[in-house]
Amino acid sequence: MKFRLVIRRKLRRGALPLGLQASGTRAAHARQYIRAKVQPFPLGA
Amino acid sequence: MDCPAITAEAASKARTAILLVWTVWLAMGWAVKGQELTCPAEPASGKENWENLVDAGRKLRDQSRYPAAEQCLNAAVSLTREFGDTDPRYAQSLEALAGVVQIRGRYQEAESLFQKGLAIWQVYPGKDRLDLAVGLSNLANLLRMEGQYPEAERLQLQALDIVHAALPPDSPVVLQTLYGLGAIQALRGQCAQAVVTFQNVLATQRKVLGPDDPMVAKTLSDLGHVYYTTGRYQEAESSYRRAIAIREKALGPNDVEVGITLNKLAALQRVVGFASEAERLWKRAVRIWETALGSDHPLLAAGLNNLGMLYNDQGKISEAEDLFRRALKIQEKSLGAEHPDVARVLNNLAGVYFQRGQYREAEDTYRRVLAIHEKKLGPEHYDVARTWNNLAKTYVAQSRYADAEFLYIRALALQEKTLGRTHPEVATTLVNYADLLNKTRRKAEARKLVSRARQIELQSGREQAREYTVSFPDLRK
Repeated sequence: MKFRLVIRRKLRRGALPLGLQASGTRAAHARQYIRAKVQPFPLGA
Repeated sequence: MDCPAITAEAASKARTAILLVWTVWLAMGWAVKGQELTCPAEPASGKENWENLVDAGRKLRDQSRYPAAEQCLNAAVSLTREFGDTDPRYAQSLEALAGVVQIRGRYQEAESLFQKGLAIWQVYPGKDRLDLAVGLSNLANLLRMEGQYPEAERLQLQALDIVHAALPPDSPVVLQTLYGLGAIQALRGQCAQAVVTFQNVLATQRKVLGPDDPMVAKTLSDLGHVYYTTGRYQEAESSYRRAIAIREKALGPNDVEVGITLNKLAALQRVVGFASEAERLWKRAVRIWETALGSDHPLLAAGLNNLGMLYNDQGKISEAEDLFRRALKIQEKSLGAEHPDVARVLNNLAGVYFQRGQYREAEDTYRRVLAIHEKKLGPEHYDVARTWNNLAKTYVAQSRYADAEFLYIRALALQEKTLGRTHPEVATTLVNYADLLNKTRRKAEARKLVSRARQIELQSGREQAREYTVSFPDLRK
């Protein structure tokens, strides 16, 4: 529950921890993934 | 037979002779070196002296010694002004000077010099009007860098008409003009056309100039960029690496142009998930540009912005903000307030506000970005869609779901139209939209979008990009 709350809070803030993935039995269910963040622009590239 | 004995006198003579030859050789070396590396003293007048100055200026430019080149070409301009305001030699000196001023990042000053030269070529267009064509193409290239794409395209097409009529299709001048057109198409988001143009130019350049010519590298670098933009990452990477190898060999490892392709390769490495490699490449590009161009060049601003973006990914928000602000400060001087690249840095700064929860500041800044992008790139450019996506995310954070949904739908439609239905950028918007659907209790719809996004991710070769990926357990319900 705590894990889920942390994700929710971080999603709301748009700051996602690097490499965060569900593990164990949770991973078996979490087949879907999301990238929820604002997109930056590189320059000259 | 005995060898004659070497007397002390003979040895002394030999030493003197060796010393003399050594001194003469050194003096000759200095003289040759001096001729290559310094600007001849400003002469009073005369055709030959003018030609010497322009030649020396161009050589210095090719050796990346830009301040000395500028000094030399300024002297050439002063000298040729005496020939009259409409003398073609004056135009030639003005253009050579404009080229160096452009490299040094002072675009407005370069534009005024190119315009002056062009006014003379309009009167004396040269044999087959080719001088006029080159003048038009030079100005078009500069306007492209200033973000004035429609005008740049108009001039480049005008130049292309002239060179096509006068020269065979494999002439280097035709190829250079076509390359300029491809570069404008790429920046305007006309990716399919740009790929065709660059591929045609590249094939002919390889035949005419050979596979290792720096012009081939220039085209490869820009073709790679279009591949990158359209999500063709493997083709992008091989084009970039080939371009870097050619440039390093032909121009040296610390040339400005090497930095330009390193910068592009770094952006690709970031997107496919190799952040530390991206950082290494960006730091190298910044070092090259800072050394060659000084601390207030737009390329340096680009490097700082890109490093800032990387720090932002790593959660180092304050470092990122500092770099974005430094980039903006440099850009204000050289690009003005309405350049598309200024809008891009502003977008990144808005991302910092967003992550700090300063949603009103983020929203205002994204609106400013949109105004510039819609004006400069047109409302059909994929960069506009990315900013809609970001603005929508800001609305979601403020629970303004209807406003956000309207923007997500528009962004998706525009991205699918301009980049294709399977582009990684579409996946980003899909998952953000799914986040909104999930929040508004439309989980079945959200699941469909996330599933489609995942398919795109798997196909794009971007699976390594774990830092962008997070499980979303809520969607299981």
